Amino acid sequence: MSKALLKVSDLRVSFFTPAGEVKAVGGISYELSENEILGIVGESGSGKSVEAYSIIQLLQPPGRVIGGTIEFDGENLLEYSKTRMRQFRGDKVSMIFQNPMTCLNPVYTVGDQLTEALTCHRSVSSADARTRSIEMLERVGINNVEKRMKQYPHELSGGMRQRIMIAIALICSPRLLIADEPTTALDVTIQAQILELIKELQKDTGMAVIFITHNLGVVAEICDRVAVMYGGKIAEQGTADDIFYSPAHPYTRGLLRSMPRLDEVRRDRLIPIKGSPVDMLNPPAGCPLSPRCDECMKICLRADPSKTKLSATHNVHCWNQRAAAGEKYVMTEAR
Amino acid sequence: MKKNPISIQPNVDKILEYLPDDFTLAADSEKENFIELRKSTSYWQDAWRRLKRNGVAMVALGVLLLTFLFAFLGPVVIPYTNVQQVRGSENLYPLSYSAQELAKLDAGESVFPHLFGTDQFGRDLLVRNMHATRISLIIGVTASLIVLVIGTLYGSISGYAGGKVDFVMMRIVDMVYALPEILVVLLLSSILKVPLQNLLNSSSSALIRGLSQFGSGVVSIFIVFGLLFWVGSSRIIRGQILSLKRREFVTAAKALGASSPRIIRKHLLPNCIGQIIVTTMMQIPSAIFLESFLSFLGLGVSAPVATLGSLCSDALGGMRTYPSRLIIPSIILSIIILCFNLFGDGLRDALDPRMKR
Amino acid sequence: MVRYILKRLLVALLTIFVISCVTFLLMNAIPGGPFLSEKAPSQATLDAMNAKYGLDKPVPVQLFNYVKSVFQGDFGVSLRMQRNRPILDIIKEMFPVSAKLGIFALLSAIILGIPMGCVAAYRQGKVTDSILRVVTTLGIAVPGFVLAALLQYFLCVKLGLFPSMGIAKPIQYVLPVFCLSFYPMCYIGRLMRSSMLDAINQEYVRTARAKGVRPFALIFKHTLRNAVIPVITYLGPLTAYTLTGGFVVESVFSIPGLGRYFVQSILNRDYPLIMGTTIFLAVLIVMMNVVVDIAYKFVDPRIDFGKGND
Repeated sequence: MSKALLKVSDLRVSFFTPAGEVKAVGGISYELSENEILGIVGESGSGKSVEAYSIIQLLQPPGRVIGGTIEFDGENLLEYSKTRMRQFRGDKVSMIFQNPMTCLNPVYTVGDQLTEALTCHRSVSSADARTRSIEMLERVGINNVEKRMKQYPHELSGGMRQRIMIAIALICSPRLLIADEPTTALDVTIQAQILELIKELQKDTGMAVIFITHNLGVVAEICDRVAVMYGGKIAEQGTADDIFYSPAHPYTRGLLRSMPRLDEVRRDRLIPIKGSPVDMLNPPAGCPLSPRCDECMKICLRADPSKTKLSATHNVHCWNQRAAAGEKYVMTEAR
Repeated sequence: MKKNPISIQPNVDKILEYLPDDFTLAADSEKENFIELRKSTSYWQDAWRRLKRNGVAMVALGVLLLTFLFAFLGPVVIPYTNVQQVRGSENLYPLSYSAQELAKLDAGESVFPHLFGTDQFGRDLLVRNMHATRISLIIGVTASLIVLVIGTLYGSISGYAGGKVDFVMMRIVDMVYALPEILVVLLLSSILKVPLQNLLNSSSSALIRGLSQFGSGVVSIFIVFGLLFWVGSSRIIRGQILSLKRREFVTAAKALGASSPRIIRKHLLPNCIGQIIVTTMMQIPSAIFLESFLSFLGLGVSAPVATLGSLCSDALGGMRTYPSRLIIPSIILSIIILCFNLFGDGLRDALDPRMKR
Repeated sequence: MVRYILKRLLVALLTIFVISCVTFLLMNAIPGGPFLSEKAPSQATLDAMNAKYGLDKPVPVQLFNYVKSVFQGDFGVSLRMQRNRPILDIIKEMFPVSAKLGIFALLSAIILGIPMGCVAAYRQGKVTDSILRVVTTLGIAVPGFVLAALLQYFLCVKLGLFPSMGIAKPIQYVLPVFCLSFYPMCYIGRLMRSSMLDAINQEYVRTARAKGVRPFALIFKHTLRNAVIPVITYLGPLTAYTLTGGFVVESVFSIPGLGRYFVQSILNRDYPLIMGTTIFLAVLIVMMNVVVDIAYKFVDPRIDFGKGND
């Protein structure tokens, strides 16, 4: 594994709502190297988007990072000043969002919004900015570029807009792209095209990608490594193969069971995960999944399991794995 | 891997003492303790709770209740009447007595003080203000009820019928909307004044005689509201109905063979009742405002009936000597409109599910 | 674009036509008709009237003639206020005064209202926001005539800060303009605050932040431009308000404008003058609505020029 580009350690994010503190992210750690696509998987409210927003500090009040570090290239982003962070956003790290319909400003042309992303960070002439924008639009697979530059977002289709969002995100050649459910709002065929495009662009530029989704199928398609989040914590982390072929956490197994598959002909119905997502205002004392877990043990309700390393790439937070390992579990680390 | 030395999270394994049965499956009953049971509350309970939490709206509601007491209970308590002219007590300042009344007081008789003074005819201004407030409130509520009925009927028919009917009905609304309403109001009230007066004087029907108490000005305001002001609320109701009628429960009702009026009454209107209440509530201050505007210009109620607007208008001439005659009804009027607005805002926040956070 | 404007103008003409008809028919419903409101018109007056309006002809013909002359700019003559003076002449004399007042009021409402809303939105929940909230709520609750009368009493009569009548000197504009602009200013302030808050939370603003756009451009380019759109829609009703609000303010401050004159003509039952002024003011309001609609299309590119008026 090459040197880590992004190192998140013990990140904690809370929302201070009138009803009380919501621990949206309760201490997560992971690393990401250049040229790597990390998938973060979880259901709504699992904290996956909040975690991503805190990397580029786009959290809206009452959300606040309350602990941990986010190191990018060895520098702690949480110590950056506001101005420094602004210069950093869109230049070194870019983000694309779920709903391309509402993410582009309706009153400005595509060209305007695209060049703006460049001129914010580079002092280039308007002609150069235009050339670069056209180049970028072509790069993300948009035809008839001259015309598109002059069009307004509402004149374009959803897929096209997401391509433009990608062009905006990548125009400054960032080293990390955060994609927050970029395909969720799109048609299935368009989804595949956009995924293909992201994968291709990643290969060409060698940037790192954090791909946030609730769709395991999408993860399988493009991610090198996967982190499964539940209740603001990472439940299981490993390579795509680890997660898909030897899932160790009951939640991961549940997710896989609830996903339709073409290669299993015998099974004729999907098994949903029972119960409803964890109440973040009042989470259980132990493992967040415990009330919904079929394999829940007494200790699960009482204490949060620490990390169990299953292999060099694969680790899981589950008492069951600890129990399986008995007294000689491999190695633990406080998280 | 090393343990992070600055981690604030203690190592679980060190502090945790395993119990013998820790690694056995937990029973469902144990798990249930962690599944929070949220009490379900009805729409109205929820709305009321949110309204109660809104301090400004509750204060406005309180002030409005006091105003209603002032207007409807006040004249009963005060020993003067609206038209009673106390001889010798003309043009009194607030809280002052005329020479005769002072003499009476000296003689040991009790005289009810003129808290707000009297006008040039010796009429007690407190009672006149109470009556004026009463008329203003009645006008506001009645006019908004007229708007409610017409707007809701028109809007729900238009929205429910859809298609060509909707198109035609909405073009009519557009036309009415394009008319400058205050101009039409002025025009109508100036035209209607004479014929209405004749009608009110000649007719013997109880309803019309009841109306004639208010005078032609008020009646023309009702007519204007009936003609013009329903368009806003009919648009809102139509929009609501349009979005509601595509919902599954309406389809289900149709599939069960429910008639259209039944669907409108049982399924559509109850679901936009919040919107209806809020728009009606918001009509009240605008009706009161419009009436006082007309009365102020001398086009509203006719003497001896007084509203807050006409009291202000009457006081304008003698403003230099009797400022209180202007200030008191002005303040009452402002407070009423303010409180209706604030309470309406609060009500919208409480009732409108879209505002729910 | 041209087609849209033409279409919009056509609708406006239609509205004016309807207003003229409604006005005429309403007036015609008055016993004795609009032109014969005096108890015993002299034979000479009657003849003149008959010749001018063809009062002996059936109502539809009269209506046609009236509407025709309105579209030709002939509003007839005043009957009572200024006997036999052409109404257009009166309007030409009186309207500039009202227009000056109205334009000042409109401008100050917009110039003060928009920043007020923005500041309130950016200081949401802070003291500034609360103060502005109180002021704007009061502003939309206190009727214009109450404000005018109270200000006149306290500032002119009690404190003697301003002259209370007329508009001979520039300082005399201050109070009338303030009274006329206070309501729309507060209304715009509230509108602006809520649309600004709405705009701040839009996803495209988040995109702009993710791009690393400077704070200045974030506020002015990405937020304000979108937030100002509802305010533009309000400009139509605002014009109507300023014109009709002028009735009261001009009456209170004794300003010799069209508004005060209109009110007096109503009180005096000078029906031809009422009709003429109503139609004139309605034309102004309708035209302003057209201008606003066209301006709206320029600001918001989402609206399709080719399609109708929805």
